[in-house]
Amino acid sequence: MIFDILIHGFEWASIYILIAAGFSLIFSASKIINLAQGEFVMLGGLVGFSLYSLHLPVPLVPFLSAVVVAFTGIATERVAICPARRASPTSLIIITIALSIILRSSAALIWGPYSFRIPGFSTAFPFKAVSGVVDPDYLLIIVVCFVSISLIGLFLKKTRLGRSIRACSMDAIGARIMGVSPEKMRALSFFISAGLGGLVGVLIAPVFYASSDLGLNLGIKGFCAAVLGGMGSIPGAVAGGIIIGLSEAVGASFASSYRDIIAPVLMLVVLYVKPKGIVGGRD
Amino acid sequence: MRKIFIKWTVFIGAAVAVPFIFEYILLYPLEPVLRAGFFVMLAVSLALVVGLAGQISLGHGAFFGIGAYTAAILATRSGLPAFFTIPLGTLVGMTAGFLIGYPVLKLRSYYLALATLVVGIAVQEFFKAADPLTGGEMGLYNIPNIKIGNFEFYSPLAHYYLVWTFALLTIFICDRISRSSTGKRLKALHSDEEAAACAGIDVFQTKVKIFIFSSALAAFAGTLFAHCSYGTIDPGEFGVSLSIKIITMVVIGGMYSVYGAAMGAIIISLLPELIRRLGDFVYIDLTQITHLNDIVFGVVLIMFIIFNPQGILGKQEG
Repeated sequence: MIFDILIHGFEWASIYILIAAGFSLIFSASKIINLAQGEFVMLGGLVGFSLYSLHLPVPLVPFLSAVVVAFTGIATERVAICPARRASPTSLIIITIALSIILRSSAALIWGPYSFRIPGFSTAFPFKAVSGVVDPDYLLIIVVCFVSISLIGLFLKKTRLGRSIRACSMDAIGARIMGVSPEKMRALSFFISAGLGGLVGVLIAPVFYASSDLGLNLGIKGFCAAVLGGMGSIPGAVAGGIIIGLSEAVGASFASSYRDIIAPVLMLVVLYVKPKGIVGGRD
Repeated sequence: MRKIFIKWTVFIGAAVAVPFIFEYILLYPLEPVLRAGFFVMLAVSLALVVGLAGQISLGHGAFFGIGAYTAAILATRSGLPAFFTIPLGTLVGMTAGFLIGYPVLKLRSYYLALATLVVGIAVQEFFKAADPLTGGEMGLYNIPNIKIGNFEFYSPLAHYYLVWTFALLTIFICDRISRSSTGKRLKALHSDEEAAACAGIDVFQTKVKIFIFSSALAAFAGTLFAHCSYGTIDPGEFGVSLSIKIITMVVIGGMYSVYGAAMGAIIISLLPELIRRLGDFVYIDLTQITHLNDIVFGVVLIMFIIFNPQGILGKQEG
């Protein structure tokens, strides 16, 4: 029982961490809260299913799908965010909401109202040893989350591009003086975040199925995790994701119908007590 | 004075004439204009918070839902007539506006947007989850129509006149408020909170007051909706998408003016009908039409923010 709760908790936590990291990356590069992040996850799953049905080699599917969604991300940024960069923060939030509506409806037009299941990727990976104890698909999600979060952390800390993104989050004008283009960093952050979302989308498709209405709920959870931990910080995304994932797993085992309220309520409490989130600095 | 009189004669005349135009000239059901009436109330009440006070709210649909559910629960479970359910629903919406607005309005800019968005989500999830009270995912049914004496508001036409009477009244009242001293205080704190505070305006209290008033109006619209929706309401109607739709109306119509918000409400709520009409000329799969609507809606919203952030009616009474 407790083991089950923990496994599910960490599985959900991994998903939320990756989505929250997407929110945080875009926020730190451009101070935009991209509410279309969940739709990138949805797209990832559906694109993954289409690629899978083309009989491509299975381990290739997640990567290809992530790349396709990453380019969708950069395209949305170019078309909708870039021309409106002078709008107020709230107008930009409304733009990203409109983007999410467009992405969701377009996906519903293309793929229809069906749920698609991609058979587990884990069969293509060497995970068979533990499959008696834990569903290998869950384990794959947790492992991929761990690896990609570590990679993103390294990217932001150690590489020149990553440091440029962090420079923009500290002081956009200062960064520009030092030869970093905030516009390019914004585009890059959309690229990485969308790709990350796409990756999550494919990986959860064997468990939760891929469908066009998946994005909203996941996006909101991931967004709550990001705000809870502190918008714009990767450790914050990890903390927020784990807190929300575990509390949902615990909550779902007691009163499953109230499960979807847990994340918004937790977020509201934190927003009220400490608006910059758990890991964030002073208000 | 004379100008106002002429303006309102035109408004009322148009509202009275519309059903006849729909019935005899367009040969089209009255349903969309009836819905537009609710949206006018919602958009105009939100324009007070967003346009006048400059406080973004992405959870306005929650108050509409709270009003509707309160009225519906009272009417179906304790059999109260609409004469009681409507004021009580409005009161509950007002209380919710206070309980939510008081903590949330301390936040600024996008933190406020996010908090209100999340409140809206939480309220809808509550409607879905609290099954014994709210009927869960299925919602509530057998909500009685409004009766005055022996007259029952049963037909779409009766609903139309009832709703639009209150919609026009809402426009009138909100317009008066935006011109009153409270309106001036709100405009002052919109343009600069510190300067407004220095001029002796209690910024926080003024914000909370207008938020409560706006919530009460939305809840009132909700109570009417519960009694005019052919007896059923379900939680799907009061979600994030409703709140987004309302804020879109305010943005598109021009958030600085009450009339702009009303116009945005009418345009956005009739837009799907136009697209459906388009279906007569171009082949559109009818099952896909809601998605097509949503795409057009999203594109229009983005184009407005990029090319015309002031909205259709602009900043005419700045």
